[in-house]
Amino acid sequence: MNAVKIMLFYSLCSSSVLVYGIGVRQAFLNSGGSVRILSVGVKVTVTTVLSVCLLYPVSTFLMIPHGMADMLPFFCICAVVCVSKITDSLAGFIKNFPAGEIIFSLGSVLLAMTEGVSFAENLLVAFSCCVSFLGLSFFLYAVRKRLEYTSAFSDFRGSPLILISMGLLVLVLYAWNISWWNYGRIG
Amino acid sequence: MKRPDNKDTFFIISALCVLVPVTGRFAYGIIMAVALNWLMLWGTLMKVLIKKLDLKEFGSFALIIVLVSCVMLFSMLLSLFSPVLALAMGFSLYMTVFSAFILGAVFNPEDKKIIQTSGVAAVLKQNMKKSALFSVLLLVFYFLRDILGYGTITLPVMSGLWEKNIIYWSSQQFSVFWGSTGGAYILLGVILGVCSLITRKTAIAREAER
Repeated sequence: MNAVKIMLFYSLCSSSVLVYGIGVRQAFLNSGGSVRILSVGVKVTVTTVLSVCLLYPVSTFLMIPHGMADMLPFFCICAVVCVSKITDSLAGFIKNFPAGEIIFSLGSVLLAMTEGVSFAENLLVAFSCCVSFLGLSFFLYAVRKRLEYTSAFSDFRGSPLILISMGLLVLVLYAWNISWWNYGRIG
Repeated sequence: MKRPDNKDTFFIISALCVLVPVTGRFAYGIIMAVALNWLMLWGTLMKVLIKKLDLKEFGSFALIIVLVSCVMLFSMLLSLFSPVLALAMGFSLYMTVFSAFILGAVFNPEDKKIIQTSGVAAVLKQNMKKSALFSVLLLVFYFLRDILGYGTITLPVMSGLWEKNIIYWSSQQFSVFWGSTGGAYILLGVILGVCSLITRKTAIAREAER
């Protein structure tokens, strides 16, 4: 049950993409169709999850006991760059598989390592970040497709309407929590 | 007739990491703007050093390491100034590194030519000018969110936030929406649309004058 809560929280309510802005640019520009979005999703998920697997023992058995927890971002960069190089070289065997895009993985790994308190939680947070990224990529792709046929005011077509749609999506995700409308009396 | 094209909107979207995740208070906007300029300064200097040392593939890796260390140092300096603010900003400060605005400017391949022809000062001036321009946009955006969302102006002080009430909203429940993440996206979308409209109308007026 706790795992489901974490998944729902980090993929919907506190989506790393919508709330922290990690990978929002990549999701915004990821317009190469469903196959492209899926392959980017697979690539970042593998990189992010493997990086967390690599970092967790380093963080638990080396950094925290020796009081080096502040150095976590350095280790995150090293882990993500190493894993990304490996996945890029493996992905090179597959035609049209995207390479790079380490910034999203770096942000997600850092978020997962700072928010989670156990290995399973770190993995879940990282995986939820990737799910959120994938979901938002599909959502924005659908919005962009829909905008091709819209009769909206020409100045608002494109990026302004996509941003407004993202704002509405955040509203939908927070629809259950209306505490900000009534000073927290109901929420 | 010129309309804000993909390049203009790309500039805004690249900066979403800096504009959206932090609470919509002007004080936090000031801290983000200082962090952004701090990163741009050290990022550009490090880039010049990497160019001089001729570090090839390792260069990008070293640059990201330096950017992250600069944020760590900035976070420590901020906690010296105000531990409350440093705690409130927390993870959001690292978002400045992931902002494509910083990465795009620091990793700009055209800078190599400028370093060779005009020297280090020219690249530094160019990047700091970009950063200053963006900081103004960032401050205006946070100012709007603070005024519309909370009806206040806030400034960073040692004890946290200094707050001055400017507008007394009759129904504050609704106005708070503009301070939220959803409000930030919608406000940004509306600003982009209005800018697009103004640019198009101005271009039409100029063409008519000719």
